[in-house]
Amino acid sequence: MKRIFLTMLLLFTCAGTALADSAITINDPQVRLVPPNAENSAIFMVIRNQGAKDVKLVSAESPSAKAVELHTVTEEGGMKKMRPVLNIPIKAQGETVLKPGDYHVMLIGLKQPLMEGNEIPFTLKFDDGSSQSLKAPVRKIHMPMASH
Amino acid sequence: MQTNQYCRYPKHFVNFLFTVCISVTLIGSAIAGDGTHGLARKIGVAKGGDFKLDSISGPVDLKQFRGKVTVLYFGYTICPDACPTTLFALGEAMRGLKADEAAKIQPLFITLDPARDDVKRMDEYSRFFYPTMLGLRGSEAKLAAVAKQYGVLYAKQKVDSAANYVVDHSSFLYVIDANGKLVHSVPYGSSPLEIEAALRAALPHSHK
Repeated sequence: MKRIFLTMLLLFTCAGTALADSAITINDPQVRLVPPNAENSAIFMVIRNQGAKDVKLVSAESPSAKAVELHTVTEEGGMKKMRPVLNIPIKAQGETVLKPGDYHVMLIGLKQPLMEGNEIPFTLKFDDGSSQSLKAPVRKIHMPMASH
Repeated sequence: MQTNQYCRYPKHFVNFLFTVCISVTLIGSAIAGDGTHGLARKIGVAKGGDFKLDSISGPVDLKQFRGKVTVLYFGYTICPDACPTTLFALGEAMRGLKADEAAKIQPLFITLDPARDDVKRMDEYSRFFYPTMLGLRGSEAKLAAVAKQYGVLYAKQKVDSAANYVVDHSSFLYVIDANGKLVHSVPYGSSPLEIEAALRAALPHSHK
């Protein structure tokens, strides 16, 4: 009886999580490979919002870095400027691309060197109360994605 | 193209100029040969020139690379975006060249953040992107002088972040020919193939 109860509880928990997150999907997450002595890296991805309301990515966490922040890069006066942002908006029925030269999840103070093909776990939290835990493979990224 | 003067113009005009410059540069790369050099000279505002900086194995003088093509990039190792994007592309471009061509090209990565980047860190970081890439560092004053020679814009900027401060900087690869002359500025976002073409165009005639 106890086992059935636990199984039911597990099923409901999973279903609950799936329902809460159903409006937001994360595609193609990837972590930029950086030199072994580099302190920082970034996670890129496509965040899609199939819901009827705009949502915002408000924070990110990862056990692989001392701090995880939301950043963007702008071009101003001929210079690339990287700045922290409070959130990353994803419009209703829209998508936001986190890519080089643009929005990214910044990993600050990597706890160990990144290796190509390794997977970095991370969690994203949205302002609708939902969150998603994923893993992103480490890859070489040498082009500003989808910007040309 | 990358001087502060443009701040006075409306943003869309600057964007337009930027697009025109990139287009002209790309067309130049496609044409290759001496045409590229002519266009680059017209576009470039910086004169380039010699400099002496420090590497892990001692002082490096740009003059010692006469006879080789040199390609410079200015950035810093804590840079999370423009630097690794460009240095990966440069590494791919070097690997795309024939071995005898690549042997005649010296890539250099120069830090704009000497407070955090020592020569050891610059060396490890640079070699990761291409085995012969040298990481260079100098005093704030020396680096400011070299950056000015090449028209590099940069500014240390305190940010509300665990990174403490970032260095805003312009992002071009500077190609210097075998005579020490700045012949080409390759803009951020160029593909490895475009960089490869710019490097090959700067090689002495026997390689074209």
